[in-house]
Amino acid sequence: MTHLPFWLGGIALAAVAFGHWLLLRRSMAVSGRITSLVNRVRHGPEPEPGMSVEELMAAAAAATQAQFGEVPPAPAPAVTTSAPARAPAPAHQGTLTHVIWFVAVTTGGALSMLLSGGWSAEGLLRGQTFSALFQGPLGAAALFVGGTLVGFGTRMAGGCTSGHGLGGVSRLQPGSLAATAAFFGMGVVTSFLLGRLL
Amino acid sequence: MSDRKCSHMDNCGMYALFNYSATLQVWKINYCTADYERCERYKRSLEGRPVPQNLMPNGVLLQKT
Repeated sequence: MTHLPFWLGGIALAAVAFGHWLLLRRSMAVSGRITSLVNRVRHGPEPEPGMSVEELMAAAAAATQAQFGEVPPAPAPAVTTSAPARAPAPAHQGTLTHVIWFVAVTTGGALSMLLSGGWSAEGLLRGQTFSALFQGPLGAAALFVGGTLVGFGTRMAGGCTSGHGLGGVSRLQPGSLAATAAFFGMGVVTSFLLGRLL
Repeated sequence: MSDRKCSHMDNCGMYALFNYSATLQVWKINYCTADYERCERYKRSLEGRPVPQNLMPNGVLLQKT
């Protein structure tokens, strides 16, 4: 199996993350999309107000007056000096959008795998002890437990390697910097321990 | 002004709306960059519940005027 050069992978990831932000005005986040899909199953589809941006702004102005009374406008941000070039970012994305995104991600991964010569497991950390312990069903169980822990940690941290690592770190978000340092740091420690002990 | 900022600002549709009106900046000052923990959108998001596009930080659902 041949791998693409690391710098090309980095450029491709950056392009995807940046393109996602430009097109959708939201950070690319795999776990966030999974959360959205699960929430739709649990709570039903997100209610659609069926309001245009202009109607939302008019209603928001009325709600502002009801909440705060007559409010003198704050110094206008740069974007209000002229008509906005594009509407505010929509919060709502339909279920179909999430499904298309996941199909695209898995298709891209499969294409990349095929172009690089197929799939093969590479046991970089697998010494004899590791193989003896985790071959067969026990290996599958270890993968399941590991995956569950990753999912739990991702939910606790509010994001994963894509949301925090790509989207958040590139925008120097403090929470994302801390989260990425934590999960990469623990990954290094775990790899080191597994390599030493097993 | 406090340097506290809501971590959900980048993906919050309502925050984006506030950016396009000087009058609506008061919501940012009172919620997004201050006591964002009391924002209904933030609280719903933490609970994993859907956040309606028309939900204001104080819990009011915007309707057509």
